[in-house]
Parts: sequence; C-alpha cells; structure tokens
Amino acid sequence: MPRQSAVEIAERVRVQAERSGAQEAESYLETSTTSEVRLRQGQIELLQQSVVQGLGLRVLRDRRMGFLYTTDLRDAVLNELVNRTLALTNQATPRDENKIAEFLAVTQTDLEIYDPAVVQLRVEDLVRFARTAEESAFAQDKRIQTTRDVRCGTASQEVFFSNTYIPRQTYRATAVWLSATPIATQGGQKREGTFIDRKRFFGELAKPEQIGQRAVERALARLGAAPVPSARVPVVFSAEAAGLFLQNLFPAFSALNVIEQRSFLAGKIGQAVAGPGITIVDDGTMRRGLGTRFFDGEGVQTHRTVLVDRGVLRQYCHSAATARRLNVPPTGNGLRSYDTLPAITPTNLYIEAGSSTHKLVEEVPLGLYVTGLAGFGVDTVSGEYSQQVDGQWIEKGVLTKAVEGVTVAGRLDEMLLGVDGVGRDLEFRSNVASPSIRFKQLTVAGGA
Amino acid sequence: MSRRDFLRRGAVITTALAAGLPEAVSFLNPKAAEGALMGIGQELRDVLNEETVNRILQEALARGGDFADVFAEQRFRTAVVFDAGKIDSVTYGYPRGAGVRVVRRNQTGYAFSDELSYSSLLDAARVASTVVETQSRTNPIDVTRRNPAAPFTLVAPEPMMPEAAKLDLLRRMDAAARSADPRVVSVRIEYVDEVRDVLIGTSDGVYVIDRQYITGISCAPIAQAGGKRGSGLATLGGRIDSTYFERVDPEGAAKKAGLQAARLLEAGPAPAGPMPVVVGPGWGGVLIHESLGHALEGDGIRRGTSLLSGLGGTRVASPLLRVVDDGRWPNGRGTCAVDDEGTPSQRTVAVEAGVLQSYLLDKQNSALLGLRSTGNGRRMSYRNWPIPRMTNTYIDVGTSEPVSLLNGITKGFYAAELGGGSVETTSGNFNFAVREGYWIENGKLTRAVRGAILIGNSLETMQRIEGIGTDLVVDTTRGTCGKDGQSVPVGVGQPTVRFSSITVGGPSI
Repeated sequence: MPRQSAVEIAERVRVQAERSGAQEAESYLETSTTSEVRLRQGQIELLQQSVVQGLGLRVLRDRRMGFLYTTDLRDAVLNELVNRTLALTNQATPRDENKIAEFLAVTQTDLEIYDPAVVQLRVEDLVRFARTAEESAFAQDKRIQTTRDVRCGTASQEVFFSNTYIPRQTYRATAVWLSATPIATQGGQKREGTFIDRKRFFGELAKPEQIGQRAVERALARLGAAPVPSARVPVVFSAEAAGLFLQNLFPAFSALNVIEQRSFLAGKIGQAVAGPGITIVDDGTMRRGLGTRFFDGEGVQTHRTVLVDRGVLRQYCHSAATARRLNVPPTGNGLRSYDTLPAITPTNLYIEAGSSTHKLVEEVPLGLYVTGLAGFGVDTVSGEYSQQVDGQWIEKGVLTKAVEGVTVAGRLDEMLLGVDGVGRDLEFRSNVASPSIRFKQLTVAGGA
Repeated sequence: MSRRDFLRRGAVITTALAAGLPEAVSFLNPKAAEGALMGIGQELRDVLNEETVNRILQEALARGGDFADVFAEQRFRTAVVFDAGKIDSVTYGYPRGAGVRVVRRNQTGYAFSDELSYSSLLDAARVASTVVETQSRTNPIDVTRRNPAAPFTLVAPEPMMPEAAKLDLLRRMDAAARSADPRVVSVRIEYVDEVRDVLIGTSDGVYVIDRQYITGISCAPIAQAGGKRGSGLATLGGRIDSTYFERVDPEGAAKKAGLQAARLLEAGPAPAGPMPVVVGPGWGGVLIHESLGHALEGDGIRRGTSLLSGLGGTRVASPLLRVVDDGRWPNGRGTCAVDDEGTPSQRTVAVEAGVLQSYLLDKQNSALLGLRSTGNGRRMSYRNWPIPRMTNTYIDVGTSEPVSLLNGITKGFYAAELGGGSVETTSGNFNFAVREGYWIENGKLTRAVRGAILIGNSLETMQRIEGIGTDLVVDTTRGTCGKDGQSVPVGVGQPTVRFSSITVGGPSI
C-alpha cells in the first residue's frame, strides 16, 4: 500500500476510535524493508527480501488501556477491530498513570540515523561483501575449511506517530550488517567464531576483509580449549562479553521492575552499586547510534540518561507510565514495534570507556579472560549470576591456554562493586556496548 | 521484550530455549478451517484457491529451481497482562501476510509481504526466483487439496472462550499466588491465545489449509524479605480446549509458584564443580532439547556443522536412552497436523538404545541428504522460511523407580525444575539455568540452593546417563525455541534422569 494512504488510514482510525468512545488514542505505523543474503562456501544459500507495514493503535477510556495491531489495513477490518478493542478495554483496570503524551517538541535537528547509501545497496553488493568476507576467512588459516555462513543485510524503516494531542511525527532510519561465522577444525575438534558489525551508515561498517579476519581469530582461539580447575580468581570480560553482560543486566534498571520489586537495584538510588570506574549511560540521542531515534514509541522525546555515575546509582529507565507513577521526568525508553505495547527498553546503552585495556590482563597473576558467554544465568530479580563461559587462562599477566566447559558465578551486587578495571576499547557494533572490564574475584567452576 | 525490533543485535548464532511466555501459536482441526477467522478477515481459500496457487508456483519456478511453495497466514491473538493485581493491558492482534519460496539445491530465495493478494504474491514469486542461477527447470505439479488427519481433537478450543472467563481465571490465579506466603510481594500474569490459519501450496502438489489453536499463561510471583528476592513460575496451556482448566487446577499451580518464590528466600548458594546430578521430570526435558535435539536438526547435519553429522547408525549416548520427537503429542505446543511445508507430522524415534536412528528433517535438507522429510519443517510466521525444528521432544520412559535414582549419591545435585538453556551445535557445549535445585546428601534431598546452572558437552553428558525413571512427563505449557531469529512453540519432556557427572556452576567451591 502506498505510504501516503497508509498514513491517512492511521490517522482516520485514530479519529474513529476517539469518536467511538476512546478519550485518547495513539497511532503508530511502521513500514520496514529488509534484504539479507547468506553465503556459504562461495554460494548464495539464502536471499530474502520483504516489505512489511503494520499499524498499532492504543486506546484509553476512563484510564483503561486497550491495544490493537494488524497488517490488514482494509476499512472493514479496522472498523471491526477498533470496536472490539474498545469493548475489551472496558474490562481492563483503570490506572492513574494511563495517559498518553500531550506534548512533543523534538529539539534535535539531525541525529544521522538515515543513510541513503544503505538504501541504494543492491543485492549484488551484499553478495559481494559477503563473498569477500568469506574469502578472507578462508585465506587466513588452513584450519578454516568451512563456514556456518556469512550474512549481509540492510533494513530501512519509516515510523509515523500521532495521538490525540500530538500531530503527525515521522522519522526514517537505516541499518546495515555483515557477519561471518567460520569453523576451525583441528583433529576431531570443531569450533566456530562469529564476528558481526552493524551500523546505521554504510561508510562506518567494518571492511569485509576485517570481519572475516576477526571471526577467524575468534574461532582459532577456541581450538584445544579445556576446563580449568575450580577457583576464585580475578575475571576479565572482553568488550564483547561485557556488552552481552550489560544487555542481560538491563532489566535491573527498568523502573517497572524496580516498582514491582523485580530488580536487585530497587531502593538503591544514591548508593554505590558498582566500582568507581563504572559509569553507565543510556543515550537515545547519540549521533548515528543503532538505538537512536527522535522520540520513543509513545511520543516522548529521547534523552541521555546517566544511570550509574562513577559507581553511584542515579536513575532508572522509564516509560511514560512509570515516570508518572514515580513523579519524575520520562527518559524516552518506551520503545516498541507496531505489534507491541511500549516497554522499557535500552536505546544506546553503554559503559563509558576507562583508561587502559592492556593492564586489565597484565595486572592479573592468575585468572580468567572471558570472550564468550552463554545461557540464562543473569537473574536481575534475585541478583544471582552464573553463566557458561569460554576464553583464555591468565598466568602472570599473559594469556596462556584456551578454556571452555567452565562457569563463572557470583552475586551481581558484589560483582559490580568489585569491578576494579575498565578498558578503553568501547566500540558500538550493537545498541548495547561496553569496554573490557575486570571483576576483582568470581568463582570459576570447572573440572575436578 | 520487543518481538521484532529490526535494530536489535543481528544474527543469532546459538540456539536457545527460553522458559516463559512466548509467541503464541498452533493446533488444529483441518476441517474447521472454514469461515472467516474469529469473524475478521477472509477465508484464506477465498484469497488463494488452487488455481491462483498454481499460477504463483509457475511464476516462482519460471527461471528454474527444484521446488517452490506459497505460505499464507493469518492469526487472531488475544493478550492480557495482569500485573500488581490489576488488568494492565488488553490486546487484540491480527497480523497476516504471505511469502513465496524458491529452492534450488542448497539455495533458497524468499520474499514476503503483508499484503495477501494474488498480485503481491506474483511479485514475491519473481523476487524469490532471482536466487536461482540455473537453466534446469522443474514444472510444478498442480496442487490438490489434502486433509491430513488431526493428531487429536479439540471440541471447544480454549481461544474461542469468552474473554470474561479468561480474565476471571487470571484474577483467581493472582489471588492464589499471593495467598501462598505473606512474603509474596508481586505477581505478574501474562495470557496469550491465538487462532492461526495457514494455507500451504507446494510445487510437489500439496494444497493444505489448517486452523491451529494455542493458549499460554505464565504466572510469575516474586517473594521478598530481608533484602533477598526469589521468583517462581507457573505455566499453563498448550493446544487445549476449555475443559483443560478443570483438569489442571490453575489456582494450585499459581500457589505452588508462590511457594517456589518464597522457598528461594531460605535457599543457600549453589555448589560448584562436577558432581552426580539428577534432573526431575517434565520441563527438565529442555536438557535433551539442547544437548541432542538441536544437533539432530537437518540443516546442521547437511552442512556438516553439527556434532552428529555422519554419525547415523552409531552409538552416540548411553544404551538406556531413547529420544523421540513427536509432532502429534496431545495438546503439545509443538503439535500440528502438518508442518509449515504441508508434510503430515509424525512420531520420529531419533535415538534408540543410544544409537542415532533418524535426523529431524524438512523438505530441502532431506532432499540434499537423499532422505524424506520427517515433518519438521517449521517457521515462525509468513516472514520466515521453514527450517528444521523440533516439535515435542522427549527422553522416553525408563525402568527405574524415580526415588531410587537418588540412592548411593553421597554428595550431588538435584534439579527439580530447570529454567532456559542454550547450545552451540558445532561444539555441543550446552548450558541451562536451574529454577529449583537441592543438595543431595547420602541419597536424600537436603538443602534448597539458588542460582545454579548446569553445563556440559552433549556427547559426553549423554554417555553419562546412569538411570531413567518410569515417570515420563511431556510439558505442553512453556517451551519456546529460538533458532536463527525464529521462535516457535515446542514441547519437551523426560522422566527423572540420573547422570554420573555434570558440572554445576555456582559460587560455592
């Protein structure tokens, strides 16, 4: 459906909901175009292209909230859905915080989240980048004979928003990504390594050769890995591992979880919750950031929010509703897709870079350098932490042998307070990123 | 959690099975797939009859290729979030769309659109066919309507029940969870049900229309005291009808989850290191799903990237082990009459007496391996192409009295209930979280522990099975499996199983 008419439909449906009994209503229309190519052993394994357009409509009636979404924008269907949703909304509980945003003045002029060069990339270009990345992986080392696959893709998205008070708002955004997963084989052992880069702007994407090369380094580093005996030792997380850890930690910063006693950080505003080297920021306004946008999914302007300042907890992340409940300004973290309600989600979430990366390992007499994390062991409710990891063993400040088949565990509060080193190697290849960090002491559980 | 933020971290390379409330999806009675969906939209057959499907398939194979299919889908979803004693939000969702796939050997072209019309599908067919780099042409066989046998019958599918009854159920569960212990401070309940219509037309002559139902409820209480917090979880549902809630006691389940949360307040830190481990029945089957199940899937086998590639007919596990994938298990989350390629579902014995008997296959990978599809070609929605996936996967019933499996363990670990897990199928390294765990001391369960995980290597761990109980339970309530960015509902199960050694990851050494 042509975009213009879809926008008109989104407006018409909102007005219809208001006329049919909603005191407030909000339309969110999303149009996405994606292309992805997957290559393996020089051959295209998958080529995928799509265009999707979906509409989400939130309605509020006597402070009760109802929501509908659909990809079917025909009049009869929308009329029926609006009427049914309004009827169902009567069953919800009225809540004071159920109120839609009344004011939005976007002050940022250009956040640089749309790159025409990404839209202009053709399938043949994606195939070429993937092929170069795979060839460079094969060229690195004889132990690389196969890949799981190499993927290259682009996406462009257009968002349209309006509500009872805020007239039409819109923005466009792009993304481009390239990943390689070579498999290293030695004896009977097979280990894979993945390197993925993702950017808003094509010009910032790592070169395909580099992606192939770094993925191979990761796969080779895992060959010959074995468990180490259980011990309590300093543990360094690589930037990649620390970024994943931060992503898993985020639910603890959600104001909704804090209010409902589902976060180990509840009630700790103003207290030291991490080592003094740790500053954690959520910044929805970062230029070219993968999580950057002008406004969130409920019409709140995005912000830069310092969650932890030099170890001290300063703020939680809010949706409009939680901000109203705690009577604080919203942070613009009510993110969504057309088919979900706004939920507290990070925009660009990161730990600020520290002073030295090399020292983190060099200062450790005996310890573990973690490059990979797996599993569901980050419990932000109880504050317990335990994950399967792999990486390298550290002896006298030097990486000595590959390690796998071990876990690291601790209590999240003690772990964070015990961070005694933060690296400089902060790089954004996702909307959540961290430099390398060192935990003073964790339990490594391994072989007998 | 946002289901599909395209700015999210990219390729998912490991597979993961998360416990919790999911994307809802499917079960069916093929003959019931007549009439508009929940009074909304159209019958899929009115949009795409046999003749239009034939024309789209001809267009898809016009440039060559071995195989093509058309997949159209519409869903009607009802969701309710009940938090802090209040009905927080109510949602109706009606997504629909269709995709066309063209396959030439190991190559796949896929194009999809949310527009469900003949002309947009012809466009999709042209885009998908650009993947083909060959002169060899396959003429599609004209499709014929099939009515595959339903794996079981739902008289009154639960999603068709009135909303008022559903909301009342959630209120009762909330009250029951809170009544379990005064330290229960918070309860969040999520309800999702869905009716899904699919239409599948394939160039090997299949035309199937199917209507599938699924319901899922999760109830997550939090207990708090003295700066400690514990969380519990109860899940209910599956491809169920309205009588289900008379059989399962929803309030009892919610109360049990409240007690589970409260018990964690007194639990000690988890042990660390290798030790004998016993895993309880039911959802514990996540263990076989991660450790062997994913490695059995045909894509990794065909590419040679799975640790089970080329091991067909050989011993890969303890001789006590029989592993079954059953797409027809009654009420199972992974149950359907046909998979998403139109192949009738089946019961596959993948491992018998420890010997690898069968892989789990879709059409494309089975053709490349010279085998037949086992009805495991599944997809998350019309936005995804089918890939080999598990349905309901379990360790089959054994011969040991469950209690006897603790005998002789001087110091070990009992995992009464697991959480989510994941595996890397190349190395076979897997992990899962333990939701409820206990020390075993001298053959008896003693102290409760918190925050444990279990890790291991698939083939090593499967050799270490020492005993399998008689108490098989297949969970139909909580499995959602993620692979390659696609989430699908699955069942997992097992009886009580004892391992000579698994590494427990906790803080206490």
